[in-house]
Amino acid sequence: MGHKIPLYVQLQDIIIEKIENKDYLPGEAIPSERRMEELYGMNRMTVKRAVNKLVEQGILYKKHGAGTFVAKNDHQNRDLCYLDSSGNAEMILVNKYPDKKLTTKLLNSGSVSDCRFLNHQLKLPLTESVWGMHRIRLVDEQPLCVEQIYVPKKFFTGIDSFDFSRITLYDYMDSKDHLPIHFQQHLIVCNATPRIAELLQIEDGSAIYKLEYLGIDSIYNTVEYTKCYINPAIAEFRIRLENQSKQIEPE
Amino acid sequence: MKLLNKDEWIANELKYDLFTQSVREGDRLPSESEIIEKYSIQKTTAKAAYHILEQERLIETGRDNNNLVSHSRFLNPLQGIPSQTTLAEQDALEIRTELLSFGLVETERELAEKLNLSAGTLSYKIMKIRQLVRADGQVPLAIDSAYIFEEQAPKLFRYNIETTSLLEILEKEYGRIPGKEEHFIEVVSANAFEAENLHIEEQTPLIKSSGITYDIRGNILQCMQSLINRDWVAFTTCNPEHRNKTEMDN
Repeated sequence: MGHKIPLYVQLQDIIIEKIENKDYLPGEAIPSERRMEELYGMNRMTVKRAVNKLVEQGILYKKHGAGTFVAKNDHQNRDLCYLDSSGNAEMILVNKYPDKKLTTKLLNSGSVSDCRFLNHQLKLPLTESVWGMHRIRLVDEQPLCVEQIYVPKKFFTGIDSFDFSRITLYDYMDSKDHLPIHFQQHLIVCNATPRIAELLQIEDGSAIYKLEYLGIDSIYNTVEYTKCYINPAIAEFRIRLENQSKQIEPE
Repeated sequence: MKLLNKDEWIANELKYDLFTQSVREGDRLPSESEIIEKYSIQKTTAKAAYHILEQERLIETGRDNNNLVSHSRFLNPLQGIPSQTTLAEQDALEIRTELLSFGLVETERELAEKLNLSAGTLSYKIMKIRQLVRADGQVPLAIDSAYIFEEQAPKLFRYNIETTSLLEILEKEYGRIPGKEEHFIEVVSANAFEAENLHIEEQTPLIKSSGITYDIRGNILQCMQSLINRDWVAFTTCNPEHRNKTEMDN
């Protein structure tokens, strides 16, 4: 007898597949936990665990008294997930407290010119302008991370007057046909500078994650450079890797 | 209100120079006086700019308070299995692995609970230390522990675990092919054992990566736990088609 993939993980995969096959549609309720016990022959604990994990990842959400629903594909998950959709590796930021509310606060935004480093990251000549947005993500009022996002202005005319309180950044970028779909990510553990420490409400010099990534669109433009400083007490990273060398036949 | 403070802007300028000029470890960066003059800034701004680079671990303070380019990191690439050993060869970095211990133990309770195993299940525990070989000596990168259930790899002692990785042995000798791997990265504090072996101070931050490898049938192949020196390792994911060497490889 082998030690198989835990049942709750199998159920997660089944639900995800049903969402991808459009059996469960965004905004609609998935079967009740009791119904899923019957459908899949798993006990209540397993079903609960699978559903909670998917809620944690933002794939499902719960509405009190109404049930569990498939999250709409409004890229909200993307904003926190840092997915590389092409390839065999996936690195996702996991909130240690998935039941708590996640909010975003805009710190500052505006154009940045003459910053050689940012232009270099975005593969732009120095003459072209960059637009930046700094924001802070909070978990129940506790700062989770500070994000500094930079995009080439030329792809997003009118971005400086856009109201991001209503639409997410990725939805906006999608509407301009420059949604990043490939990501190059780089993660280290470094120390908080006084400014970051203050924003994250942690001790100056304490250890934090620094995640940098480039977002690249479907025609290989570099459309985003983001630096994200993350409080390790509230988050960890989950990494999934697949065997890339063999064609695997699922049994 | 401007998006970047003056010190952040200067730090970015310094970073640009760092990444576009061919600098090497130990090279001296411009002094504070030099950048004060170049950018017409105050001493506090210059100090703050260098502090940013230091906290991001790009520079170190050397003799006479010079700011020096820091060493580059070992990139732990996340590109699927097979693991980083292959990439180290490509980067021409020499990584040496030493066996610290290899024994048959009772599976640790936390792990046993997580996997729904009965108490007392035996597993092999293989603990190795990965070192980066440099001209000036070896730098410990990580302590890697792997656990495999005894019943799944009977007589594992027969094989040379010192020179071959566990996954290689499992594939070659037991016909187990790795399919999927999942692990979690978190920041922890170094205990005495880790501090001693990784040459860092106790209670300083350490990266812990814990996970499970499944074979292609979905069975658990091995459980791993790595304690990683945070100053010497970075994690990267990269679309293979887009592998230009960028600053982020630094």
